[in-house]
Amino acid sequence: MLIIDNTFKPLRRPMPCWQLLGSWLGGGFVVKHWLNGGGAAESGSRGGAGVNGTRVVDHAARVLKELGVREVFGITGGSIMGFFDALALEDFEIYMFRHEQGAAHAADAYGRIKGKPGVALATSGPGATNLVTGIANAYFDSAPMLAITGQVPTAVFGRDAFQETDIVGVTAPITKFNYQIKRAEETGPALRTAYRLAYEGRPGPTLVDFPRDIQLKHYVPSDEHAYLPIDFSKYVPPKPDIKAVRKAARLLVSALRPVILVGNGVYWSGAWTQVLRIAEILQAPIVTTLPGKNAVPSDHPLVMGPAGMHGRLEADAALANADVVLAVGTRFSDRTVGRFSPELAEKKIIHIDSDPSEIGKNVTPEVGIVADAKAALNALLRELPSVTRRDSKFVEWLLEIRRRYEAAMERWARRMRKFAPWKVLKAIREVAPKNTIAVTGVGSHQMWAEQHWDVYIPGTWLTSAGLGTMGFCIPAAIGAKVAARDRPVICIDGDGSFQMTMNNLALIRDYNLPITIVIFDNRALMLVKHWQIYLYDRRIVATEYSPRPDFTKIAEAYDIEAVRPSDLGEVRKWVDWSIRSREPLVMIIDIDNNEDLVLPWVKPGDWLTNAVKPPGLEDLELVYPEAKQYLAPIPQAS
Amino acid sequence: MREIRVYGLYELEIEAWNGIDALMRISNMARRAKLSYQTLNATFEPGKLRVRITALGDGFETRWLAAKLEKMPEVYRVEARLLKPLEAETY
Ligand SMILES: Cc1ncc(C[n+]2csc(CCOP(=O)(O)OP(=O)(O)O)c2C)c(N)n1
Ligand SMILES: [Mg+2]
Repeated sequence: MLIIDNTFKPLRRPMPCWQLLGSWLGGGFVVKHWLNGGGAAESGSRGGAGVNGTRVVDHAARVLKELGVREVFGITGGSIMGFFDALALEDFEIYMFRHEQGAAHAADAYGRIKGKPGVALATSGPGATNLVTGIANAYFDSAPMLAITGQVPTAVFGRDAFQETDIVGVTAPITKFNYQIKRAEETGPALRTAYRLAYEGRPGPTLVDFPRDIQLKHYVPSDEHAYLPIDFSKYVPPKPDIKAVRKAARLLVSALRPVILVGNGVYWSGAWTQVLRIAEILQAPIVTTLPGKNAVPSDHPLVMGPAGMHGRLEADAALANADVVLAVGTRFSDRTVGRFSPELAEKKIIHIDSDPSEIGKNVTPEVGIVADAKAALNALLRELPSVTRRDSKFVEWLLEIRRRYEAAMERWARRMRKFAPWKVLKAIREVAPKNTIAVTGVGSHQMWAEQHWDVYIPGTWLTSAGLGTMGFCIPAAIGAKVAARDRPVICIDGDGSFQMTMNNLALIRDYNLPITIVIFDNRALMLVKHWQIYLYDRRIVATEYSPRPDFTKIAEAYDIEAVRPSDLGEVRKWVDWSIRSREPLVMIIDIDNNEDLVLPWVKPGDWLTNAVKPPGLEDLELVYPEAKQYLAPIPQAS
Repeated sequence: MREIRVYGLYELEIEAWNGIDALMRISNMARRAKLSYQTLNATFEPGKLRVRITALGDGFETRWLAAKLEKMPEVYRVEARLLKPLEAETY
């Protein structure tokens, strides 16, 4: 790999500009002339509500249609209504959100399910700034979405015009690409480019800012560039370096306890079959990151689940006792490994990622492979023997930890005054079909779901991992349902998270989007209260709620059935009813905020084997006996 | 891949498209690298922005920034080089 000296050249050859500018769409546009029944159509260029189909916005709508977009999420306003008008004329389904943040989360979730960007629209100023949290969320979880914002007319740029915000400046650090259209003929190229960039390579959000005067100009495209002068070839990941792959294979074969750490990059690359195959050959346990839970089936015998701050005990133990870690499609967050040194630094790490800036960012690997995960793992499979002679003692030890862990959780559940959150999740999982898409809010309920919700089919787990955005669940579940109307969608939410975006419940009846919402109602910002209990000497500050609002009344206001089950049987019955009858449901689960402590838990900055364990497991040892011998100081010769 | 970490004065040369907006996005990215910036020169030609940055810091950080910049859609070319190795204590 790269050694820093005075000649290093980062990674890519320059691309000649003539190649970038070379793609033209020679006269390929058919411009429809709309003769609407509403009397004389006023030309858009004069700023009125002309509907003659030759405005820039009409062209923009047709470009989106050519890209395959049929649904958009958003809220209109003075600077974007012209575009809404054109979208309606082109028969787009416009989902009217009640807050732009919701539209952005919906577009993010839609993108994660479809693999193609969801589109969120907002007007200039407050509409655009309301999108910001949702855009940041998509950025930190590498989700494909396209935001299109209205902007004040170019003539008043920089004059602090009404609802002017420099949204390109605001979103620069949280978008993969953003662009302000300054001329009519840039509209098509800008939209195509932003759409494509949102999913090409490592996905991410893009934004196009669309000034009002340009939107309404008369425009007949001819000789329009297909794209802005962007070098898309840089998003084709390089082929895996065979020398590095061979070195990785040697390390894995000679490892005592190899472990595979899976991030969500494995899902985007469609590489889970390869991961499972390698695990089987090596008899290597698989652990995941929080988003990487989406990438492998939880019921595979070698999948130990997520490791890290709120990981499962057997997964923490697996990662902690590995001597070689094969990390695929993960950025190595501190949330997954607790801390980077000294323990992690002692392991031999093989890091595969399509983004070169991720390799070596947080840990220095023994082998770094910049490549698409699937291509790299296929290359690795070619280098590995078809079987290795490794005994299953390590895996059996981990499975014994799992058995003790599950038994302890059962005992703990019996002592709880109200619902045990993990028992509720398991009960729901029993009745929810395997292809159910689970979406979460952010907080303790999310962490319970991380530990106890089984993902059977990759791509069915949507959570806000990188940004940790409370309020993600409801709008993301709506976006997921729009993307997959034939599949059940369950939103596992917290009472605090729910209150942040519950206004978007209106869309459920408006557009017939029957999702099942489960609110873990502990009347607290529990994850923060948890930290207060452990790290702030039990000083409870601003984390406990009053009984307001009554969630059943909120649900009723939106014409949605609300229930408060009294036992797990009722939980199963209502979820089953909601899914089978395709009826939306708000199910409120009473949880005691003095008991709702998500354990195991690795304190920030602590190492995985020091996890605070659930009651009854205090004596459970997470250091593998052989690893202990291995790490023991060598006795000095007397 | 055990990296040799060299502290020193580094130079980054960047070619990009999209004028001052690209310069803003490049600067945003540069702000996230743990480098101490010495100079930044930008020239705007039709269709091309050229930026030259010099910064004191760790080669690893420079490499991270170069890789991040290189992944930006509007960036055509990035080159980074060590101009002068320095003792870490010097700064
Ligand atoms: C928008 C936002 N604000 C604040 C936080 C900090 N935070 C993280 S978890 C949490 C509590 C979440 O409460 P709730 O949704 O009720 O879930 P619980 O932890 O109670 O299960 C808070 C305030 C955040 N992640 N996101
Ligand atoms: Mg709560």
